[in-house]
Amino acid sequence: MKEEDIDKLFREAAEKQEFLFSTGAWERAEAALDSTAGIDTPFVKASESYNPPNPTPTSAGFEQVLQQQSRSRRRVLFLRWGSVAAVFMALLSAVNYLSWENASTRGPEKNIPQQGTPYGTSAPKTIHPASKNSPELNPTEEPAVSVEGGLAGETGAALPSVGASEVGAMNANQQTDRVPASVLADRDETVQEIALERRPYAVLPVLFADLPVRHPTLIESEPPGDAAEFVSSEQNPGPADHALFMDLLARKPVSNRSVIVAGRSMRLTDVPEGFDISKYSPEIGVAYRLMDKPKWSLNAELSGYWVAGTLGKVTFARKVAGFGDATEYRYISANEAMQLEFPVYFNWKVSPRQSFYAGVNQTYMLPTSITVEEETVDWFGTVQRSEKVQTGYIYGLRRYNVALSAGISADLLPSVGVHGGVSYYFLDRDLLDAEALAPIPWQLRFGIHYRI
Amino acid sequence: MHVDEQVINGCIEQDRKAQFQLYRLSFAFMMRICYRYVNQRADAEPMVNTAFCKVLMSIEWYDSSIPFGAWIKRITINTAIDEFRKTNRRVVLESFNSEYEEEILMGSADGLTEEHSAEALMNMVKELPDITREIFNLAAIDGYQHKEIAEMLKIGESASKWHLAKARKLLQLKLKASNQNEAITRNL
Repeated sequence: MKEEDIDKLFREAAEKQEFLFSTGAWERAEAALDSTAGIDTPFVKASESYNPPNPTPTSAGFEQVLQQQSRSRRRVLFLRWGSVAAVFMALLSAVNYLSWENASTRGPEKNIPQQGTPYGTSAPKTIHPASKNSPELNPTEEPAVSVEGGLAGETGAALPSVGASEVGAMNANQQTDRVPASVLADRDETVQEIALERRPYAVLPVLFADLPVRHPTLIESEPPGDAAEFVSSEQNPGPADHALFMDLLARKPVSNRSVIVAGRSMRLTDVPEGFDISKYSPEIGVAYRLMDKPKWSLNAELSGYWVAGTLGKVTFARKVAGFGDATEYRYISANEAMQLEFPVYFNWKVSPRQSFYAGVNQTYMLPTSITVEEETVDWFGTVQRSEKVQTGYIYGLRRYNVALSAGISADLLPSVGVHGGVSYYFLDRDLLDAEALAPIPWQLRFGIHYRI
Repeated sequence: MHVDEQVINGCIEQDRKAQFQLYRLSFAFMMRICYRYVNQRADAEPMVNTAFCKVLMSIEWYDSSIPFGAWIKRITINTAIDEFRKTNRRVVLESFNSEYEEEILMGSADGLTEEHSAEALMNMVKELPDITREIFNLAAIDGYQHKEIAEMLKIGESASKWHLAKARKLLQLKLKASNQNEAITRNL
């Protein structure tokens, strides 16, 4: 006999059973009704969320929905932040490539680094500011901004003055055509030297174009007059903190070993919308270069990562034993928690300013204040709530964890650089009893670093 | 099972007469369900009353687009599962020992015809171990999926499947034994 036949046989038998109604049964039922009248039992006051068509409680389908959402969200999140990371890396590479190109191809134009200024180490030169006949005011006339003595400060050989507009229009080869042959050799050499010296600052025009990079030199060499006023209005030095900021940016690190790191991090999770714990959080720390070799270095870091997303809620559903189909939801929320990180990175220097890093990151989450809200939804949808505040940890994340990290780092200035990378955590999910709420073990991290 | 809308409205207004009418209309239907989940008829009636109380207390939120019988059935089955869980705290995998299977194979010559009366068949079901009987009732007769059963009884899906397969096998053996006994009785 087939399984279906057995089922059908017994199903039909069950339907054929006859039970006669008895008034005694009704009397007992009536007594039960009277005993429950006026009692505020969980099923007396059914909530509006009760949905009779769904045989399971209103929350029963939540787990399935949660799992479905989680699976799709896992993919979406991974793609979304993966693409963000990829774009960030691409931009980083592009900026560095462009800055390198700028540094290598630009000729002896007007913004030659000046020794004694925060922006250069070359010999001081006298630069005449632009007059009212400058290309900015009258492009058809001869440019007034010129480098007196050319690159004499660099090599001792004078180069002829080159107009700013011409410099802007010409490439290096065209400029070379206008330079007397007697100084060509010296100049080529000089240009290379200047380019090399300017490499650390070459990205300035790209990233800090609105800042008065050249201003101090112009002010010092400018004779009073209308032109000076014009320059001042165009390139106002601004408040003193700008100068301080530029000083900080352009300063050379003292030891080149200690680094302040600041940035943003986020953990990826597959928690659905509304309960999302993956948000960007600030991260700050200090790093120390343990070993420094020409091609590689070994860094140790201690940083604090404010784990965000705790502003949201994490929830899970479970059946309550002995209470029919009642379902308990637990929402655990915390305002904030700090995760200490102890990464040790091996840096491989692929260029003087770029390096890849990889290493092991150990994390430890500090306890924080959490709010635990519990909701019990019984068969009829009645909701009973309780709330308590206690010390705990962010639900779903381990207190101690180990991750493999990798990324890229690039120096924009002698003291300043940017970095970005990802971490993969090994120890996760152990705190979770709902598979759907398990976080994705990835963490994105990017920021800036400042060498002390 | 058809219940007049007037009766439902009367129950919503807590009219005792309407409640009585509803009880009378649904008694056999609910008993049929409850009796499958308990061993004794005496245990089925209190279960029916408990389920009926739940029906009345939640009837205000009854969605008329759903057949009333299906709605009552669901409440009754849930009540039965609740009662089962109260009395069977340890809902765990139960293994059948060989003695039990032998007992089934030997069968009890209780004069079953080949046609097998409905009551005789339901008695076979009642002879199954509790958890196996519950799962057979839920899966084979009430049409629940293993995932739902696993959630209801707080067991794994695989355990549910295992019990259902075992129930079918045991019932098949009982049917076979019953037929053999019937044939022997005829030959005598």
